[in-house]
Amino acid sequence: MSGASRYEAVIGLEIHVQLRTKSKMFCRCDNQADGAKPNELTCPVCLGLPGALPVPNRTAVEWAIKAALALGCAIPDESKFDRKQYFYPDLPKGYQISQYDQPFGGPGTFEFDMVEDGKTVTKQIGITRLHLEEDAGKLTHPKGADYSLVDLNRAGTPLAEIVTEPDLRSPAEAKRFLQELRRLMRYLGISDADMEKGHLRADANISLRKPGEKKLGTKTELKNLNSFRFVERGLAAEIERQTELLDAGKSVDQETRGFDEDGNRTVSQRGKEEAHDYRYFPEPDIPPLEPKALGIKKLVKGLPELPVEVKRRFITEYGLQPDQAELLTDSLDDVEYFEASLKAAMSGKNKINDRTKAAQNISKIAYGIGRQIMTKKMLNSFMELDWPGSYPSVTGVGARYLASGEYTMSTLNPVMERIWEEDLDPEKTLEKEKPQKLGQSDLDKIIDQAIADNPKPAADFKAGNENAKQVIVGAVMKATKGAANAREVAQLVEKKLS
Amino acid sequence: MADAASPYLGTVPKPADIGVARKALDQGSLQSVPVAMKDIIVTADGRKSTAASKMLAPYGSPYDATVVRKMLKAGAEVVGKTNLDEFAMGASTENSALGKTVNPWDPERVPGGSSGGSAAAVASRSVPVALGTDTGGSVRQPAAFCGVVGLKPTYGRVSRYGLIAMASSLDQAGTFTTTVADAATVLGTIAGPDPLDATSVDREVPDYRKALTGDVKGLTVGIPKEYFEVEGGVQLEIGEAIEQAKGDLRKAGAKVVDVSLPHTKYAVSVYYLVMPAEASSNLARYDGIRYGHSVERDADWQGSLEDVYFQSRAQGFGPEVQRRIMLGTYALSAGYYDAYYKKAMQVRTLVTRDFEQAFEKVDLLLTPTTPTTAFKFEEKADDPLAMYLADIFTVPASLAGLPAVSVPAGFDKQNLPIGLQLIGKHWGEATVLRAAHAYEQRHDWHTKEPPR
Repeated sequence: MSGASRYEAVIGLEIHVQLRTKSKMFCRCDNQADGAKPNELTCPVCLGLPGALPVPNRTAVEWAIKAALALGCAIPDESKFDRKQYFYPDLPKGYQISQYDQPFGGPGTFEFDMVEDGKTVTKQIGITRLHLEEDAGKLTHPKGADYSLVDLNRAGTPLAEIVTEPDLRSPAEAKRFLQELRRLMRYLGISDADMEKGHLRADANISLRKPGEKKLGTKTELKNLNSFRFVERGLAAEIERQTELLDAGKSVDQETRGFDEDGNRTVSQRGKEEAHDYRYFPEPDIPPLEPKALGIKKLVKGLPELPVEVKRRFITEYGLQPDQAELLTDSLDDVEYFEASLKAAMSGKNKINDRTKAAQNISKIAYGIGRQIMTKKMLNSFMELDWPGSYPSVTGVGARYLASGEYTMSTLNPVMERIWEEDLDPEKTLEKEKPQKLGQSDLDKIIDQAIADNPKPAADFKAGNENAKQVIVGAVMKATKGAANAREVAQLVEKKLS
Repeated sequence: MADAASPYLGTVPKPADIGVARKALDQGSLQSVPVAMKDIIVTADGRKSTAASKMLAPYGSPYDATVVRKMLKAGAEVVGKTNLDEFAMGASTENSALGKTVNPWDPERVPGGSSGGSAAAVASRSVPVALGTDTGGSVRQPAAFCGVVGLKPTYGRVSRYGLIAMASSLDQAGTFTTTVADAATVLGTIAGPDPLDATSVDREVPDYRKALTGDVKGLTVGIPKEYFEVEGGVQLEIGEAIEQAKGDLRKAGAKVVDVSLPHTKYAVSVYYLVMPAEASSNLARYDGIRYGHSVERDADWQGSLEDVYFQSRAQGFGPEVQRRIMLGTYALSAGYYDAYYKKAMQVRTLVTRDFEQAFEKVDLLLTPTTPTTAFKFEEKADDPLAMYLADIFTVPASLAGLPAVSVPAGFDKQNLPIGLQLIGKHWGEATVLRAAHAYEQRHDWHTKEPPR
């Protein structure tokens, strides 16, 4: 990243968030296209048949306003839909119903924290606007065929388009922004925001300028960055390309580019001169809307505690590390799960009194054992699963037994797994399966045996190879079935060998 | 295929037993009443829904328009689809790509348009009721030319779901009947909010037949002077008919006063910007990809995606449709939008305000429906501007979304029907129909049938 020092990257994002409403944006067709046969979820409205008319989905409108509020956007007194006109086979009406000059969300600021050089830094990214529109269908091009296929199941799916100010300064920051945005959408419960599934799609505008310079350089638009990794890699590749151009005294052409992942470079897709005139005009089939009449006050009240706030609270209130807090606040379900577990850990007969300790133990269990089990069970991303209602109390009980020293993570792990899988009573089971406490003399014997069984590592350690002792520690842990404390064992091994 | 000069596209219905239908209608019922639908109103009955365009000649709709559904529910029977100007673009039905319809009163003359087929079907007593659509006069003008009652309700009163859209902010379903009472019955059937049309309005639908008291006591009727100052003037007999109507309404209890609608002279210009702009957008869906005419249906055809668009649309749309698509596309283009579409919408507000101010003083406006009676075929076909001026008296109420009716008002020297127009306040159909009915009852013009 030699260019990073000579030039400052200026990045703005345009993000499409697919709203997971029950029905489509302007008709009553099912909005959940996954698994449906092509063109199964269509009707006269989303097929653009003669005489059909769009009727806005109230929930989608409310959700768009909710998202705008959460992004700190100003909500206008009056909003309207407009037609964006162009011809394409995936666009049944020859226009997309979108919003032009009166979007649901006006200017706003989105705040999040990220760790940079080991320090937590607060980022404030300007939001230019948020508007609501309908998605187009999907085209597929069968190999070797002289035709393309159109599937209109997705046509009419509600999309919230979010445009940021050019406030982002690095690919990492852009990626982070998108991750935070995904988290926000999930907190609001309005989108699954899964990039791989296209629920969240990002385009980026990027230009370079000399540090300190106010004027923006010529930008390129990078299209269809469909994973967090591609966002980071695509932007890095484009920064490198622009840096080389500027270093060579050449200028950057304003154009649309795409990321070629195999070549790890960006390629030109469309020049500026091919820019469309979309001939926007107010959608005459839908009267203007007054967000106030839709009950903004109620929407504001219904907003959840936002991710950035929850995370900060988890750090200050529970003494969690930023990365722990990050994991534990990934979704509102996770937040609820954590706080319910905490409550369970801090009550009952062997309750934990120290909140920080309770929080630490829950963090270990929830994202150690819990994650393993859930992954095994569902073969799915942990983040998207709803925890069964009994899980928090099970975790809380586990945390208590961990705190009391009767279990270590290694001994707790298999028991918890069984409790979850077989739906056992956590208290009774943990009590019954308690590992026998190792006496000091027992442990001494086991360590001696392990040293005797591993003469080479023992000799290596004595010769100065620090790491060699791990083999012996491992052997001890295995022999004690995890009941020993690994750190304590390591100290004892060291003592015996020196 | 319809015969050479039929009001219908597709199958011509067998002559209806008007007697049975008459009996039902006299009781305010549509039970077993044969009804014709302008072929821009989609029906799922196996008949094509063509908009009289080559573009949709092969098209059958999988669903019924809301107005069709409501008529069927009321017991009416759809017996045929009627001819029109292609996509409702025209004032003579000459722009139909699929057939010719003549005026029942004189086969050398046009029935008016765009709902010429529906007007001719009712005038020739083929059916007692037909539905049409009115964007700038497409119900009222052919009703006047054919000597029947043509009612355009308030914008938002009747669902537009299933009306093949021309100009969304102006289109409205309307009725053709031989009497005002029948218009009241049909309006009562099709009016009301529709969850499938966001521009339909949830307002109480009154019993329109009950409004027909036979008098106009307590009403003030305004005569807008600008309607008599138009370019080219008003045909003499039509002016006389208005004078006579003023007397009739006075006798029936109304006060008649002069009013001014100063922005009337801009109405046609505004209309011919707003309408093509919306039409150019509404017709974008006919792209040769999913349904309708497509060059790709020819197995031997080869070309690019753009060729599919260009050639399908060039072949599928007639000249007037292409003209309006080009006008509208131009008016909405970057750099022209403010000067044309936006300015037109601003002037549209002024036209609407004229009416609002007039309606502070009067309950109704009385005007001619058309400057002339029915003209001959080819007379205006090559002169789009002259054709556009045929809408000059009907366009302003359309721009303002007001209800208006054309009622038979006698005949000119050539025995061609004359129509007069009554324009009411928003949602004031009951008053419009009441006055039209009181006027109708003083004459027997509505009972006159064209020569067979």
